[in-house]
Amino acid sequence: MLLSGCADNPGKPGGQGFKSPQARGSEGFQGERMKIDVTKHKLVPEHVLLSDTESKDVLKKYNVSRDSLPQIPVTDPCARMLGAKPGQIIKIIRRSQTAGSFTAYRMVVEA
Amino acid sequence: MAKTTEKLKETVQKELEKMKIHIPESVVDKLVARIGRKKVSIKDLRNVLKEVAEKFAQHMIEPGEAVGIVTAQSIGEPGTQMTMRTFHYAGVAEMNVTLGLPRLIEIVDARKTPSTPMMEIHLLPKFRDDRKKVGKIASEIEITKIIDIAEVETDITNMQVIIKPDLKKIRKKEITMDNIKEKLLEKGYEIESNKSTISIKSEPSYRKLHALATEIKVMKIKGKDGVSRALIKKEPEGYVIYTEGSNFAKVLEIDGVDQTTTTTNNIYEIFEVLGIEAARNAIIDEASKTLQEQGLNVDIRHIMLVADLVTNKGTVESIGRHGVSGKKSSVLARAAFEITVNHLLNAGVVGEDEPLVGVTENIIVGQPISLGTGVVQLVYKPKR
Repeated sequence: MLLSGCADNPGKPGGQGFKSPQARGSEGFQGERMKIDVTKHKLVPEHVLLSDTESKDVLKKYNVSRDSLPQIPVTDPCARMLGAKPGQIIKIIRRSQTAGSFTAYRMVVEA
Repeated sequence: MAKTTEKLKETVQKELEKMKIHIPESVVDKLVARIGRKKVSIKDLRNVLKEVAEKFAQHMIEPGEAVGIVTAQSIGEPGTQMTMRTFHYAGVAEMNVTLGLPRLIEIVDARKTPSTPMMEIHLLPKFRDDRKKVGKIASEIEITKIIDIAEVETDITNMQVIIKPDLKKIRKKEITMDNIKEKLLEKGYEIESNKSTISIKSEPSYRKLHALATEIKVMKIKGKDGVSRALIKKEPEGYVIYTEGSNFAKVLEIDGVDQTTTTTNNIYEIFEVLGIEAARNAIIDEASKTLQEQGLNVDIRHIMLVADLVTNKGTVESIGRHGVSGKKSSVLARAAFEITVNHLLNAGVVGEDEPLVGVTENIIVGQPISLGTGVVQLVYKPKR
């Protein structure tokens, strides 16, 4: 599968841009190359995979259990690009019409 | 000009972090615009931020507000004003798109295929004004069947189907005889050909011969599955291809297609190709558009709530008993919604418990609900 050429567009506003799979290095998914870089599409917000400590901080801050978070399947294209595994938490930075920007969290689950 | 506002914004956000106050970005933007080029000391800024934070806190929705009911009514009420009939879309050249109430129902029911799937394909900047290149891409997408470019005849005497390609049509669509032969061989047909015709032998039965001819006539030679028509329209920023029918995944892979702005109205395809967050945005966009087209002004917060609810479990669930409503853990709530007897019977047989936590079940039973006033429990502490 070839990583097809992506549009030569500027990065998303307000964010530092999303690390492409190639820039990730050893962490992340094992050699899966997707046909389209979905993170560049205008409908897709920035997804960030949180480390274990970061995840615990978020759960503590909102005083919730992991299971009460919104969910995202492992097979989700954005989750795949991050190489997420079930149980991990993904931080999503959305552009919002009402609040400018808003961070949401999703826990990765089995499909 | 922009540089000073950016620096100001950064300063504001740094101060907010130091003061441990949270103000949403849109409010910060408004504040920064208001301050403009005036010089503000850090002390004054901090005072301003404190006041802004207080005012913002007063404007926020109170915890426990029955937001779900408000949303339901805010979307439902204008819904009664929408026409039930669909009518032709006067905008995009001759295309028939579902509008109004039927479309809203499709979105909320999370239908896997909308009744009028449509794609809006944008091209890379370098191709946007090249009519020829755009035409080529459009013919890559629109389905071409053998019957569109050739005559298909049944030769009864020799028990074979004869394909006579029309040379003009073939050249126009940029297909060659070899393309057709390849496709037929791929599908496993045994063919014989000369310079102008291709023939396929059929089994010695009139019925089988006829069936073979029909198969060949509708066989796809070019184009992506599902896309029946592709129209090219000139927009201010360049040519755009609108299609009847949608195959999001395949179209995004085509050379020359802008993978960042091309879109479809098939929410399920967006979910499969771009992920759940993109699907959430697509639901908000589609629902908003549908309501606005009917001249109805529904605050986007209500639609955002619906979209959040529908995408909460990671997939696009419908609102009805097969989706969100069916997943409720309360027996009484499900029984009160649809198919009453089944739920009660199953619960009885299995010995289910009803914890009486949600709204519906508490109303049925006559207890206070856990929303609004009921979000708080008061305890009387007698004075000693």
